[in-house]
Amino acid sequence: MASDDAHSAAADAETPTAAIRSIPEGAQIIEARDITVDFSGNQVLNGVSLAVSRGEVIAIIGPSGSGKSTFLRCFNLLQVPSSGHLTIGDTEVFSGSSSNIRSRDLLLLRRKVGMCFQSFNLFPHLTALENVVLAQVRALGRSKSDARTRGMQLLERVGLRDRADMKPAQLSGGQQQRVAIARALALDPEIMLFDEPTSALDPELGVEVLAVMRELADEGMTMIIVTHEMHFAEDVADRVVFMADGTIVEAGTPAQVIRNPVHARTRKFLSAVIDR
Amino acid sequence: MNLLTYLPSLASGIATTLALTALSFAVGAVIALPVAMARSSRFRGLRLLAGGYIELVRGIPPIAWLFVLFFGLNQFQIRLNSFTAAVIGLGIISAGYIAEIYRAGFNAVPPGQREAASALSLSSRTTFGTVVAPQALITVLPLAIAYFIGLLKDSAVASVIGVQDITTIAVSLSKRSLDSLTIFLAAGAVYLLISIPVAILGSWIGDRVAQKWGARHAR
Repeated sequence: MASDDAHSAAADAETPTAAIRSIPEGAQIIEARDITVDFSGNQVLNGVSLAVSRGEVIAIIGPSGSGKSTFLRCFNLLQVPSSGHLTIGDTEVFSGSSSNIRSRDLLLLRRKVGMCFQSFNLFPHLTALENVVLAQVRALGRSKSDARTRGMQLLERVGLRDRADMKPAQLSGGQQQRVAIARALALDPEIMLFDEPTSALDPELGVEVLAVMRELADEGMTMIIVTHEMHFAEDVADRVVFMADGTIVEAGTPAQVIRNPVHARTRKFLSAVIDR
Repeated sequence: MNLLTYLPSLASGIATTLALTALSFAVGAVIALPVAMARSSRFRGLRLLAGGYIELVRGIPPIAWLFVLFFGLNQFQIRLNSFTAAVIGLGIISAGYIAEIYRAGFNAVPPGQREAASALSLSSRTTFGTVVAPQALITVLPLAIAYFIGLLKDSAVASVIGVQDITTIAVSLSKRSLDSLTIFLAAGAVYLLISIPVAILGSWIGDRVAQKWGARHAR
């Protein structure tokens, strides 16, 4: 995955990523501490903490409105917390109430942390390949031809090499989400965030997306996934985090949280999801 | 009474009307960009300033702007010829309207597009140029073309400060003739004859752009 890094024009951009790469498997790569998010007086997250090790796959489950998507969006500061601390690799990217985050630091952070959205958010005016190429050229400074080569590799990897020249509107939802995954991977992130990646898809199309994500997890990508796919969470996640009302109610291995939940709130949610 | 009799004399005003419209529109389209961006800025002061500008140019009749620029500035030893005054005046006014058209275009781009661009580490300039502007264009073009055609007709107001456009020529012809009705109908026909090709060209360009940039929403 790192083979193209030598071509990167923005050499300084590689430094923080390199620092992360040196973090061994299993060592801490993310630490979120006492994160709160306040939407004009409405507390959406009430001091949430989570530490993630390199290579770990975390599934965040919970009812709508529990704050799980908001929490996820804090990891790349798409949502800036109201207070708390966030460390990615060995860089504290958010601290206390530092509302003035330098845009340069934000750009660096987002090269390390990729994200996929529930509604894919592909750029509709660009082809699948152009979607995957754009940020490589404009954010990493790769040459167009290197970016295209890398783009084709990634489309191949998500099984869409033959769709490279199609516009998003010509692709199925599952194909669009796979392009979106390739697009995020194109920046060689160290961490991937998924915000309900299959919720907008028919079950059949969701399967192809989950297969790509499973592969990614098997290759050792650090992943945080907000999902309603309990089977996937159970199979793929190392840890499951159950959130309700802006806090983490319960966290542990899938066997603990999904099969033997301790808290009544977790049991209530799971019975509604699984026994429907 | 024959409309065609007057067409050749009126034709000399066509170039002036077209030049006046095109230049005013161009001035407006350029000024409108910073105005529209300020209007959707996260800084309240900029938003208010841009909003104030838009209300000001839309709330004062164009004829008053032209009088201020052409006669009013004379007081300060600034003498503009009538064509320049009209281009500046109509340009300033167009900027207010076109800024709102741009804003409609920006707002039509789903917020998820900007989020995806941010998550991909694209700078705000790159996001604007490669993600927002091309998608906004699909909304902006038809509105801008409709505005251009409106401006073509409204540019007739420039006749009050003596710009030799279609309307001025019609007025001076009518003073030397007893056939005013025919003259002004002919003038109207000339405006119509220019507007229709512009409209056709405009919708052709609009279609091409919509085709090139593909379907609006990814889904």
